[in-house]
Amino acid sequence: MSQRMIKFMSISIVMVIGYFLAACGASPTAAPAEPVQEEAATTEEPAAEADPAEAVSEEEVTLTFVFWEWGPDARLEWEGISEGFTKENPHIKVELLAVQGPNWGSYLEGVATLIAGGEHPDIMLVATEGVQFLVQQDLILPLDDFIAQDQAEVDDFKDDIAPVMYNAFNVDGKQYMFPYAWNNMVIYYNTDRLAEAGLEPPSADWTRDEFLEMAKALTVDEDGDGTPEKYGYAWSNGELFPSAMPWIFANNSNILTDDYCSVQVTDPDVIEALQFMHDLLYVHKVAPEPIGFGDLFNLFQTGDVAMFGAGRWPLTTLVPAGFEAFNIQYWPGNPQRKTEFGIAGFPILQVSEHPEAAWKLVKHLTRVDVQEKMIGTEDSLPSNIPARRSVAAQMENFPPENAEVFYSALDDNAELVPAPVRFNEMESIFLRYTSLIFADEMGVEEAMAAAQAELESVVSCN
Amino acid sequence: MAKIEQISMTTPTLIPPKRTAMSAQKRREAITAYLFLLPTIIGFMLFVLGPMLGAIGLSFFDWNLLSTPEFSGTANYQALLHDIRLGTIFLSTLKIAFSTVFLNVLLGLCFAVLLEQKMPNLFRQFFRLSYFFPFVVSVSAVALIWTFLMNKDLGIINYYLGLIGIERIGWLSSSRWAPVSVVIIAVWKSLGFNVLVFLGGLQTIPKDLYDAAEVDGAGGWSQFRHITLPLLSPTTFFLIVINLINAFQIFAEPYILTQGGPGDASRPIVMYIYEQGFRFFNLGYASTVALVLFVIILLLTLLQFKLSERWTFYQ
Repeated sequence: MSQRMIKFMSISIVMVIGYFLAACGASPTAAPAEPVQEEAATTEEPAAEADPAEAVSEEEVTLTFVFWEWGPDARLEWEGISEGFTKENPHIKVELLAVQGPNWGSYLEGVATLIAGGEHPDIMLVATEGVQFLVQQDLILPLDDFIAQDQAEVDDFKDDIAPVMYNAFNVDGKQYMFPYAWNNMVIYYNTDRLAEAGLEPPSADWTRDEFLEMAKALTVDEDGDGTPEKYGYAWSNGELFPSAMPWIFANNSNILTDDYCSVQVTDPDVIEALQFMHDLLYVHKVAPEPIGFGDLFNLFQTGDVAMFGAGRWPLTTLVPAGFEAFNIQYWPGNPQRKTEFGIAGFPILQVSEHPEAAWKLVKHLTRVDVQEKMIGTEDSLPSNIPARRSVAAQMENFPPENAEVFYSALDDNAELVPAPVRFNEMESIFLRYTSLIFADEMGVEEAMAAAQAELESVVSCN
Repeated sequence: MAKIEQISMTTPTLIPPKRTAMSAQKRREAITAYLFLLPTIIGFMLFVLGPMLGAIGLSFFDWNLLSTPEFSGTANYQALLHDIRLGTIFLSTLKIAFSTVFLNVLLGLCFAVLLEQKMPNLFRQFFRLSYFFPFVVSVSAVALIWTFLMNKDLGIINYYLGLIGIERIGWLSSSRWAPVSVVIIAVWKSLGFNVLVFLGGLQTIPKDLYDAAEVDGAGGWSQFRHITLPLLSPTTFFLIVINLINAFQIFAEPYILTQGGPGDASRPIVMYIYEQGFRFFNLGYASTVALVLFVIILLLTLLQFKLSERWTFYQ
């Protein structure tokens, strides 16, 4: 091989190595496990209404903001909000860091990987499921000092939200976040299927027994072979929030004690709720085996499934598809109704070098005009419900007809999804055993006795 | 002393010949060879050896990704011995892995031989594309479609089975069928690669061997048994090794199709490692289990190399 060839190869290899090193240096988000995309959504263009003199006097700051990119709409939403914020605060740019994943649990995994990879976000989106973990790891700042600075603004916000939401982010007497968006569990029903079966829509005070009767009436064995083709009800068993928890809450029970220190999955009311779900599958045969939400939304539109439980997120699929034959109702009580809810907010991270600027962004996110972006349009509705009651009231202008059910359910009897420090582990254990119950391979009592033993090793306050 | 001299006179000299200095030409060639190897060596060190040594180190620590790692001695190894789920998960992994390898190699060979038969070129291209297509599509997208097809009560597969009187099967929800479904998707996905490699192997077998066998009166099966199979043995060996390594690392199919359930019936060990490491933030324990998997794959591969000496035939 000629000298020229050797020289050429040497230069090429040095360039390749140089490229790799440069890439590693430039992208601290190259986390080992979770697919994370980074994109700066900044705007340097000062707003017309911003005071130029003030802008010049303040220090230039770039805030790193981590959000859950559950779909393309999420990015658009945050780009819009961050651009609006920078227009009003020209010295503060917002760099968006997207973490993808199918649910809040996987989002939290992505964020942890991101931080372990050396990224130091200033502010991040967090749901109920991750709060205790972040507090225990001492990763987020209590907001109490900031709140004292701007008490009037905070009070204005507090007066416009359900108290249960504000209190949900208070850990050991310290307020770590403000609620931004939330979801609760309601029952979606296909109005065409109800009309075909000659059924009246469920009333606000319907009970679990009435639900069961309706599910039976909506289950159809078209060819008479003993197995239905159309089902009255279906659920997804991929997550704790939308599967068994609403039925457990409806039984006025919970899988953990209120302080998240003890496990109580062997509580008779928990057992009874799970037995009820099992019987929907194998005794009453009104539900198909648990199915993912994506398929569930399709089957709901085709009428193969007449009812299912969810929050506001199905609207992101049903409304753009032009599907209108549906409505929602409170979760049926047994006998008293209760709704399950979960919230998302924005803590400021301990590592933030710009907590004051981050606080400005936190306050910005509580504003009416910013929360109004969650209302949506005729063609596209966001997946969350705004925290502000006055803003959420505007949802009544859009489908479903009973949209007021979402917020009003919070006022009468609401329960936060159980979220201990080791939420992911707790959820995984519980779902592993319920999957055996729903496969009819393990009795409810036996499964919960085994789950109790395992859960006690991950849920504790000692 | 005299005796020693005697010996030295009768024993041939064992002193190695003096190493001659490498010529400039040879040195240049050696440098070129190392330069060619350098990217692979750097890649191996950065992305294989480094993380592997890191995993060995981490297995002696308690680390949750966000806190400072704390030295925990052999605690993770002791936890491994007391992990009641590990046995079931390893068993699921073994079942899925061996079934996948067996079916991939067997069906890969059958389809490759069939594709080598005389047929119009258009058909040949069509079949080749059909087998290879699943290999190039995204496993996540494909698995999502399969979840819909395989649903027990609303899936299309059970609908058609019902037409011929077969009761609904819990493809994704029963402990008996969930691992089978994972194997079906995994084989469907990777069969094309096996067919392609076998086709390559078949095309290297000299035609005149078959002509000679035919002259000697050997039939189709006899030719396959005594010519094709032995001469394909290096290809078969290669595919068994590659398939086994891949099968032990199967992840996406069960993760999307069954989430490892019901219970742990279809949970492969790699999914368990991922959950321990990145869902539950037990990086130390996840590294420990990963090392056990590494040792198992290494031993199985070495065993295959040893056994292959008995049945692999090189021309």
